[in-house]
Amino acid sequence: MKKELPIILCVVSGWIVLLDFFIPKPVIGTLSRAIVDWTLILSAASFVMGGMSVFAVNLARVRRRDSGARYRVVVLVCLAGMAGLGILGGIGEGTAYNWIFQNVQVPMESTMFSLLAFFIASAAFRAFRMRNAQATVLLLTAAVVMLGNVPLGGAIWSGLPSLSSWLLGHPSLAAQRGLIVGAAVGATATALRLIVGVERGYLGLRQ
Amino acid sequence: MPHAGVWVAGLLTLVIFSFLYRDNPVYRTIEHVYVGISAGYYIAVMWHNVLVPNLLMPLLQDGHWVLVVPAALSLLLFTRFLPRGGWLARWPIAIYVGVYAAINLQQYVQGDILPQAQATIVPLKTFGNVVIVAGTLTTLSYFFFSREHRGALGVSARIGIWFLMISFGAAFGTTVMSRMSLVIARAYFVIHEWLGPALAAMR
Repeated sequence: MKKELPIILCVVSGWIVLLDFFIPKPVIGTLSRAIVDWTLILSAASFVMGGMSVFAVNLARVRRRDSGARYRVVVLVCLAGMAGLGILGGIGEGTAYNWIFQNVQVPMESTMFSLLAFFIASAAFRAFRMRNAQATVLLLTAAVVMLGNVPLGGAIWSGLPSLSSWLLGHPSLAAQRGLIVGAAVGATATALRLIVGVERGYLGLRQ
Repeated sequence: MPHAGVWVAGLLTLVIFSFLYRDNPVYRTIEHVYVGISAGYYIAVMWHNVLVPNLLMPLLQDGHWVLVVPAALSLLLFTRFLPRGGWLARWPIAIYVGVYAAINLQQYVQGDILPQAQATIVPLKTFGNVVIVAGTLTTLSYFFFSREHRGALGVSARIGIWFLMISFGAAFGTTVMSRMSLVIARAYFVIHEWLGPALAAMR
């Protein structure tokens, strides 16, 4: 029950969904759609469980009076408040939930991400110093792409925007393509291992 | 005069930018507000967009009793919080993993491998096309670990590294530029939507 049944559930559910792709029979299609719909419900329930987990972890630390407990109280209040407002009061236009989303969450998220512009520049200065030829190529490409996207680049040298476009559209594209295909082949192999029951790491079992 | 929401957004923007000077208690408080609100946001969205229309309404109002199965499986997820019986959460997780493995298996092949391979099969008439074909193949050879990188494979893998470096540089450059766009957007908001109208209203 603890080990075998989860593997059987994974294999059976996986094969039903996969067979629906190769064998378009109504019975398999109905079964497959039902399982996919159930999985959608499971994924939503896992979000709720994740939120509860965040709440439980922070609550335990507040009770233990760990360092930064007052900040964890803030997390608890905001999590419970936002979830409660949304669940009880709705999430549509004109609700308190939507007001907080528009005027608190969106600006905070945008500003948090924009902070990275400053740190990414200082991190790059330390990481990408011209230590060897490959690091130099990386640095030069980054500089060309950055300058090629702003009017200053065109003012320095009129060919810079074209060079930037060519780098993005040819050598960079080729490497990205290699990365995508490589990652997809790896992911396909992992998915196959999962639905034949070879890969069991997701259950936290000891091999 | 800007409305209350603009004042809240503007003040939050300034508090978060205060981190550029140094870490401070106000920033840390707002950082934790962000964590809490984000987690609460997704819980409410999932509740209203998935759980209510796909589970609770059909089950309780329309009497689709087959939905007792996903409801029970969903409840099993919460056994993770129990001191005993946490292993029961493996059942819904196993179904979830199996279904998404099968869905992704099709998507990776149809959406990634085949279209990318098809786009790489181009006539080698231009320098650009030669670069694309050579770059893709050499990059792939760099990630081929079933054989030691010696001989022709070693040469190909080393060329692949150069293409990867160009790609990483380009990715870094575009990331920096997108972050700079966000900085400009925030600065524009503070000046033109918050402080500018507020000062104009005070005059």
